[in-house]
Amino acid sequence: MVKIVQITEVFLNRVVRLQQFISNSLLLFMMTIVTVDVIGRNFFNQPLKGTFEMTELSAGILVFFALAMTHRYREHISIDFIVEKLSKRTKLVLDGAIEFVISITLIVMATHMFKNAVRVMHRKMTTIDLHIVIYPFLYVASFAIVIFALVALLNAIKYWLAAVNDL
Amino acid sequence: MSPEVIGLLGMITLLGLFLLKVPVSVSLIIVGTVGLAMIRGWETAFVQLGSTPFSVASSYSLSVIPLFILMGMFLSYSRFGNDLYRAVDAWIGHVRGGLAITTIGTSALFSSISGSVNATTATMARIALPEMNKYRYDSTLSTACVAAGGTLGILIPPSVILVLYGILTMEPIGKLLIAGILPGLLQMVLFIIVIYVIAFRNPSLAPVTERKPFQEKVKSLNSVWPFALLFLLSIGGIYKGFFTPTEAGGLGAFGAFILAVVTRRLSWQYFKASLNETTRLTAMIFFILIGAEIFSKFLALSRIPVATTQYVGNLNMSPMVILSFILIVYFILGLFLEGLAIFVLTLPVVYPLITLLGFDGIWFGVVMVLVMNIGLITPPLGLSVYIISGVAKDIPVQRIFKGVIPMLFMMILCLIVIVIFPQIVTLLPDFMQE
Repeated sequence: MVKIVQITEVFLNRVVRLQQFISNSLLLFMMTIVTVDVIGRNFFNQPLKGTFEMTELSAGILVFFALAMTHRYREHISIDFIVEKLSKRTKLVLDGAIEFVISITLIVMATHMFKNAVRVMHRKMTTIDLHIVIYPFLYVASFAIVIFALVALLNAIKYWLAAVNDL
Repeated sequence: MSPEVIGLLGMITLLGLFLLKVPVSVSLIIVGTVGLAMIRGWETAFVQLGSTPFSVASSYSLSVIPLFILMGMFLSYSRFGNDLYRAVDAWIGHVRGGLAITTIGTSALFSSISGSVNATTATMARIALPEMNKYRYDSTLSTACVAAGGTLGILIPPSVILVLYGILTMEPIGKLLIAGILPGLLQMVLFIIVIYVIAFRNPSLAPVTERKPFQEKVKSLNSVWPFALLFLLSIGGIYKGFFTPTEAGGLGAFGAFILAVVTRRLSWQYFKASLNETTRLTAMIFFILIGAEIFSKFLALSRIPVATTQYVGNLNMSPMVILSFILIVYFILGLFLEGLAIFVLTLPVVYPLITLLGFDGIWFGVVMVLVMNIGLITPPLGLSVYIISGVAKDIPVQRIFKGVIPMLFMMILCLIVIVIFPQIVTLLPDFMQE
């Protein structure tokens, strides 16, 4: 069991790091296009076509790709002043349960985001200026949520294993 | 069960999940989805769950958040804060309590490029505490100044929390950002006054440092101009109506990047760290907003906001009394809950009520931030205090909490002044060009 957890963790770490790299790149891309657009519009009377929608789509993917890494760094806000008072083992069991609830919630969310992507694909929805098809971004976002769910599930298993070892 | 009862049960469950340490974002998603399902059926709930996340994450007006955070990160990692501290110190460091006052002044200036309390507090703790320690400042006073100064980060624009308030209430973000300037300055002045009084009554707490030569003072101003330039470019651009907040954020981040590169202060390692921290912070905030959107749809369908406003409207009580009650509730919530959690939990109900009572929505945003700031330096949550404690590990948390008590009184005084004179908040937004 421990071996499987370790192998899965190595794999997930790689995926999550790649996602973070893409997120970072998109952030730089957003910063650049917004600047080029503002300078072009104000000084050369030539705005960058499609800045609005490129910023929107970039921000969407940036967020979903950074979620799993944020979770790995335990940076999703939670309120712990009551739970901190529990015993170490109870805390481990509870932390595992919370991670499990997170992973189930995310799996349900990813499923319905995927279904939404299928609906958008059938409607052939595109952006207004550049006519970029939207559904691939939605598929990518659902995939990112699945990765986030797996990170949470792995955390749950690790907490429960630690609780068992603490017996 | 009536929708109102379902809504009430949803709010209680949400609070319960928060206290069980379930992340705020996930709690909102769970309660929002189940609540929607109970009122409108699972199909409607799942359609919302499938479509809301990407539509929130890809909202143009929200993309201002990562850009403003990035601007602050670039400048923070490039150690511009250290130079800024030295510049302010050169001018006012020699007066009684000078370094403590310098800390407040630098925090205010740093806040003009940083939109978060965490970034401002952590940066100032790293810069100011060793300096005050060197001059034998009492640690109770030095840490209190950093904690108080850090709260200016979400008042003086760009403020991430005011942007979020704008998103959640549909108040104009540009005006909200500008609205924080005067209250931020007022709070800064009140902090400076209390520090001066403390140092005057007990000089041993804050020994006087040497006066710097005039040439050194003038030279130190060199390090202030990047902050002034970026502030004028981004916030000035919003004020004059040249840019949208997102454009101002993009330009500000780009300007900060160029400055950091040209001055050779941004190593590859710091560059990566700036991006990593920005994307993670953005993901955390956006995931809460996704949850908040689903939760507020559920709450709207439960008719709780309408029922509450009707009920309070029929009470025949003075709006000021109701406002005082709301602020007391916020103060208590602020002791236990994160500011963002309070926003998403209460705004769908409280905001319509506040506007119905005739209060200005922008003014209330600033008032909320002031109340939340109090929670940041008050036990048991006291996030800012714990950030400082993380940097200054040798100083007990209790001592920091004790030190912030005078600052706390100043924050309450600032809040009272702003409630009595709302013009302090609304003056600058009223002058803004549409």
